[in-house]
Amino acid sequence: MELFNGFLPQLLLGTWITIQVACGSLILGLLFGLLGALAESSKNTFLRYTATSIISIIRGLPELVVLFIIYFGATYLFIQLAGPQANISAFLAGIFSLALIFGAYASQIFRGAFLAVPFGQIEAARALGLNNAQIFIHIQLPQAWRFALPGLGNLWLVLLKDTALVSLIGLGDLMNKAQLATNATQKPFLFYLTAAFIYLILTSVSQIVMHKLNRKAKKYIL
Amino acid sequence: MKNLFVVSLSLICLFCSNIAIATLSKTIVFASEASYPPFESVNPNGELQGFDIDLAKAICQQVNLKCVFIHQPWESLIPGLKLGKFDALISAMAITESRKKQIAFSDPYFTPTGSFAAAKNGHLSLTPEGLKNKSIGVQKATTFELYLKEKYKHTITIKTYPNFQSLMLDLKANRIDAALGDTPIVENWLNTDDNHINYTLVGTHIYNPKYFGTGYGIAVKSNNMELLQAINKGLKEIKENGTYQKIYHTYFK
Repeated sequence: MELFNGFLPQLLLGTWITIQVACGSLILGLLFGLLGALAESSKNTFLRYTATSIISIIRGLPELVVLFIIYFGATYLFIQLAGPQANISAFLAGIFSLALIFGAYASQIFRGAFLAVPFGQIEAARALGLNNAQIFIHIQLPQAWRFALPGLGNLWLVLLKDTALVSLIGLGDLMNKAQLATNATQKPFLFYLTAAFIYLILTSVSQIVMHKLNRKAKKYIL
Repeated sequence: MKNLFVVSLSLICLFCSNIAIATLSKTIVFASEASYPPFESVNPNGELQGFDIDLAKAICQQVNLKCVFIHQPWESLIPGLKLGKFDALISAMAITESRKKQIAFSDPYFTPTGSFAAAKNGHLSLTPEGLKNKSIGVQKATTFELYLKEKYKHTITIKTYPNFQSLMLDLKANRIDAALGDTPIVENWLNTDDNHINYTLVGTHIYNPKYFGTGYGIAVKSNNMELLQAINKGLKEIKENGTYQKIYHTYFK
């Protein structure tokens, strides 16, 4: 405790915020990714082009720019539309921007995964009289997620580290707490190295979980 | 699948509890960039502390306002205030003409001076010739940056930093020859660890209202005259009853 000048609880609190932001963005981002992949493989030209352009715009922008556009730009827009009460908290803006970025990349992984399910199976399912929704839920999805898993695992690691960006809009994540503790105690190396160590623990645990999931996923794939 | 549903639901509930705090109540939210001891920093409980914070608390108490303090990065202070993400700023912010175009300031509560810190054997003097080809560090988007730019434009290299801490780290790493900052902040830095052994102040304190403004002020949104009047009233009263002087002497010599 003495070593950290009493700032350890703050660092742990920051870690908890980091985990919340990362998990929130993951859940929302998977949803965005799935919707993006569906829209991109849709037969509707308008839907397909819209999805493709949104995805390529987000993939082409630096993460920080997306974050600032959402936090400052979207707040401004909301205030214009709904009056001064409308506001987006740093927490929501952080999750939404990271989810958008995660979703844009994840949609490409999902699309690849759906293409990896042999088309013959879909023809067979149609021949058996399954409708499109049934084919998606019972034939494509249970197989596609297994193909998608390794790619998503990589994206998750990137996402976990990208959460450090939210410290720039004032959210009290691990990085933010480390900076504040540094400023208060003038001990930069102690706190940045501790933060690095905590990030390393988070990513190591993730890798172990992903390894287990991958093994489970491969059980039925030759 | 059911488990996953329960987990995601409980996570969503957690987020909601977070959001509730942000939208709650009619207290005055002060934002401050808490990397500037002794003006503002964070204590081990995560609360803001320092001269600015104590001063604002005294003002709030004087005029019966309920005030809370949050940390925000320096660059987000003015944009966030304009967007109504918080109600007031107290962050050792100088009152300048260009800032006044965007936000409204209270009466000044502190007169700032700047000081250069450099290595003891650096042989610097504060003239355009003495600083020729030197690289000087300063915090980004501050009045000191403007001062350096206009006063020594062609003779020096200016390096800017997002906060005071990274500026001083680069001074210690010899990437810059000197650092310019608020006198109390620089003095505070010299007095921590063993910095005063190798580093020292160069020349005298610089005071130049043209660049540094008339002093530090509390900022509010330009149309929030009600709050501004309350703050000015509180500031005047605590200066008269001696509270201001008491707080001043806790933090400065």
